[in-house]
Amino acid sequence: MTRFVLRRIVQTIPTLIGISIAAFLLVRLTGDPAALMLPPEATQEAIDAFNEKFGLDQSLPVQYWKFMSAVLTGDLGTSIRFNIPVWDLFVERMPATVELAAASMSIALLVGLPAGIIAGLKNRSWMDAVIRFFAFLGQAVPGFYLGLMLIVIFAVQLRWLPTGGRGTWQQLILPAITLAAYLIALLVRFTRGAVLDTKRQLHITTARSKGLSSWLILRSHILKNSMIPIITIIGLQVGAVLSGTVVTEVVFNWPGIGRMMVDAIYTRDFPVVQAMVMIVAVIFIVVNLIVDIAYSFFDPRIRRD
Amino acid sequence: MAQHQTEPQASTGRPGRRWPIPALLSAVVLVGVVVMAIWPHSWLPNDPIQIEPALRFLPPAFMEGGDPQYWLGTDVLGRDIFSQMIAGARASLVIVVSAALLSLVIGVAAGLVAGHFGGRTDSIIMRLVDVQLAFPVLVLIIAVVAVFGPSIPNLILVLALASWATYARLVRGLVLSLKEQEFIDAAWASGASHGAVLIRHYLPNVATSIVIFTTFELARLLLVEAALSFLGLGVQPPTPSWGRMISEARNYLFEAWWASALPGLLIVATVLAFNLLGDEFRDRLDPHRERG
Repeated sequence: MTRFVLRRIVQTIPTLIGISIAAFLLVRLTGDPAALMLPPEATQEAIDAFNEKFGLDQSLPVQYWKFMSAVLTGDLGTSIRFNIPVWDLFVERMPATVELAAASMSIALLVGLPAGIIAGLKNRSWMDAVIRFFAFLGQAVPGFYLGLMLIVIFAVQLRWLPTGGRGTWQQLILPAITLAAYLIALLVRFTRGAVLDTKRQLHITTARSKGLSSWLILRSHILKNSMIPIITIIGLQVGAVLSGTVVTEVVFNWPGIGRMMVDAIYTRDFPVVQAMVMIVAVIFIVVNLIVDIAYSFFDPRIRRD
Repeated sequence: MAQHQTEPQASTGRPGRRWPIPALLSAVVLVGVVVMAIWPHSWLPNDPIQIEPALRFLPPAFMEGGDPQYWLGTDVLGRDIFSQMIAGARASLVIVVSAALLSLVIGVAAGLVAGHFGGRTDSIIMRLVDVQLAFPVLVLIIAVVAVFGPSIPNLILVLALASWATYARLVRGLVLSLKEQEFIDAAWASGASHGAVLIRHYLPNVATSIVIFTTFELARLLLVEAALSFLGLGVQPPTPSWGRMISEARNYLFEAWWASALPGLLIVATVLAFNLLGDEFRDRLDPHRERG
């Protein structure tokens, strides 16, 4: 187990290096990083200081080395627009995004799991057909479109909920549902598949022939064996959730890191864009790593290879 | 060619099985979208980019106050929504199909080479695949488009570079499973070169899986392209675009909900059609899959 965990951690190192190179080149490839990374009214002294800090007259490997030294000592750059370190901006905005992601993941579990189990247990019934129809729809509707239509219905027409912003629980409902829709659809399809697979296995037939009640079979055999793949699927969707928060936060004016990144692009605040790419990628990798390790903990077969 | 007779038939499918209605409808929708994409702009009922401030926010003709000349209404700048919806198919389809083909070519080539040659080549390619798959795609694409600008060639390139890795992984896995089969041995025995084995023997046997996967991939790329347009990082004005229509109308949901609601239906229908057709291809062509 320890060896597996160590090996998986070592395996993420090339990925992390790849990401840092991508983020580094992204800004260098445009030709003039100082013009991109400093405010347009920057003085010649500021430009010279920047060029010297990252050695822009030196070779790319040397520049990369300086860039990485800065990153590893916690210097992710300074926002042009707000003139404060990007890391501080990130810390300020992160709770909003975590709140949104947690709310939508909870909704996805509360709706997606039962719906998937029902569809799997009663497959080929009308309930199965209805649930699968909505799952199909949920995967085909763009998040921003669903969000806007929810606003049209619940904020504009019915006037039940606010159109956006953050602060009250009413403001959390629509963005959380918007972000959850894709996850629910995915969860339904996987849960249904996992339940169907388990249902076909021999020990279920045995349990049935022993005369166990359907509920007992469901709880102690089917669900227990379906949980591992389902948990993995949820964990692996962190990337989709991170991407989803970008559009959802824009639609609902939600002050999280997704909107911060889009705002940074509109205002050409490139130090923020560069740092956010790295931070988001690292979050994504760390979560994937945790999912992998948890998975191998539940299913020892994974650890061989 | 005699040596092909011993190869497993990739696409015998299930003869005689009728096409279910959802799949037929999907095919109709996709043919419709292709017709919309090639439909000349001069044949549209109204010029899709003509701005008429006096006509802004006309409701659809079936609602009170509508004008039959603009039968799905007009947007914030008084442009005809119906004409824009038809004209908007072109940019989306060009970007999504080109990006899918480009990522297919890169990914399939990488997967064939990695699976066939193995060893060092394999580990280098698969490491690249891992790095690629470790990125949250939308975040990567947004950053690249923000730095390099949202032209159509840039969009195609960045979508393809963000998508090739799944093809590579799929094809490599298939090649590894074919490697020990007799017809590959036979090809080697008959003196075939590496290139000939890859293209004449492996490629035809992975083609079915590639077609199925590409159908789902087109749906996914369309959603990403729409999200980019919505964020203002997709096709730029005045070229009509579904995602941008929705985005431009989003600040006027109180005045004109139809201006964002109607173009979205086209996106949903197209994505749904690709997904349903993909499911049908998979059930029909993949002999190993049990139907659930």
